[in-house]
Amino acid sequence: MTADSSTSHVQHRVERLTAWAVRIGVWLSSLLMIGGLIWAWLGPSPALSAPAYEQLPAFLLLHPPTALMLLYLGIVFSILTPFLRVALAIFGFILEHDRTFTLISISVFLMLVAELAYALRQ
Amino acid sequence: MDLSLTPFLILGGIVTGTIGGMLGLGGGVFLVPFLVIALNLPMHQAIATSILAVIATSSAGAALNLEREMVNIRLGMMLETATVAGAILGGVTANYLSGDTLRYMFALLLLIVSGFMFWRNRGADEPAVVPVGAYVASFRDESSGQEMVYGVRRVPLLMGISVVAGNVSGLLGIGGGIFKVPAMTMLGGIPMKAATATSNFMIGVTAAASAFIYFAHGHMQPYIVAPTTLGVLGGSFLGVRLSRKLRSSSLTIIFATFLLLIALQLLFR
Repeated sequence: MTADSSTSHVQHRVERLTAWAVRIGVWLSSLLMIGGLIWAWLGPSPALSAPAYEQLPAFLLLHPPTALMLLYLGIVFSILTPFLRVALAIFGFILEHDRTFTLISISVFLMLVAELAYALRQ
Repeated sequence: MDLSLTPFLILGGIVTGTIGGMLGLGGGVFLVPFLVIALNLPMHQAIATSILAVIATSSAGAALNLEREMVNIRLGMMLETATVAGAILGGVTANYLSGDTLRYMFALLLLIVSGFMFWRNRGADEPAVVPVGAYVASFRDESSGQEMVYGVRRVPLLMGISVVAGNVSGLLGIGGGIFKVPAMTMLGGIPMKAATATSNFMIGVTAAASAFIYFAHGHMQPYIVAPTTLGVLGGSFLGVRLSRKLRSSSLTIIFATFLLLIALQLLFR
């Protein structure tokens, strides 16, 4: 196997892995949202007002499951799926020993994390 | 907010997602006006809802395109450095602008998109594919059965356009493909299929860059966002299937006219 075909082989494997991970992200977030909506429709009068943003972590982690919680988790998983896409691209470039694109992908990832940090401070 | 809106949100999502899928656009261009005009939602909530729908449809499309090896990941990542910066700036800025300002900006955007659709329908030729330039990549064109090898030209210019695309995405809740795809094909010399796949791969990341900002400001209301996103996701699959069976030229004219009317409605509301 030549160096080129070896790199190409790694690239294809990482592309498949990324596709698989993204698909799981889409399915998981969709199922959580569907579950939340069904629960809200069938369950006893759900709480419709969302908790304040600063109370959200406690709401998601400490309270018993509710329809609203499933919907929030679906939204959060959906937003995090592209983060996963970039993280797997970094992994792929590391495997290919491509330093330039590893650094470029890391910079994209860091910008996303910085945005998350900014949002958390609001 | 009550649950009685849920069926309308799902249906609206399906319709706008289907139209978007048929035209190869994200649903955002149609979804935001629907939420604002038909359901009277505040502009910021409509944009936040659209952003999540864009993420979901982009992720679903990206999985398929990655498997088909259509995505130029290197080019996507390079342009993403510019797009994400623009999107974060857009997301932050949007929260300091009034709903009316955003509405006027969206109307202007629709006028541009509508003009682009009329122009595209005149049958612009796909650029000749020549493997010169940076980020040389290849993919197998399923319709012709040929291996397409291409390079990317004018990368700095594409980076500049990506900043604008990201900024508009963060400000107005659209994917930004309407800027990226023409730039990649006409200026970068990338075949349309690879440009669309790479743009789709980038769009979700771009939208995610501003999503948490809208989330933090409380604009993502779960009972609005979830049914709409599910509708758009289902609609976009339907739209892609329908687009293979229908003549796109007449559809494009119809929807371009439709967008023009929506733009006027938003402007003079």
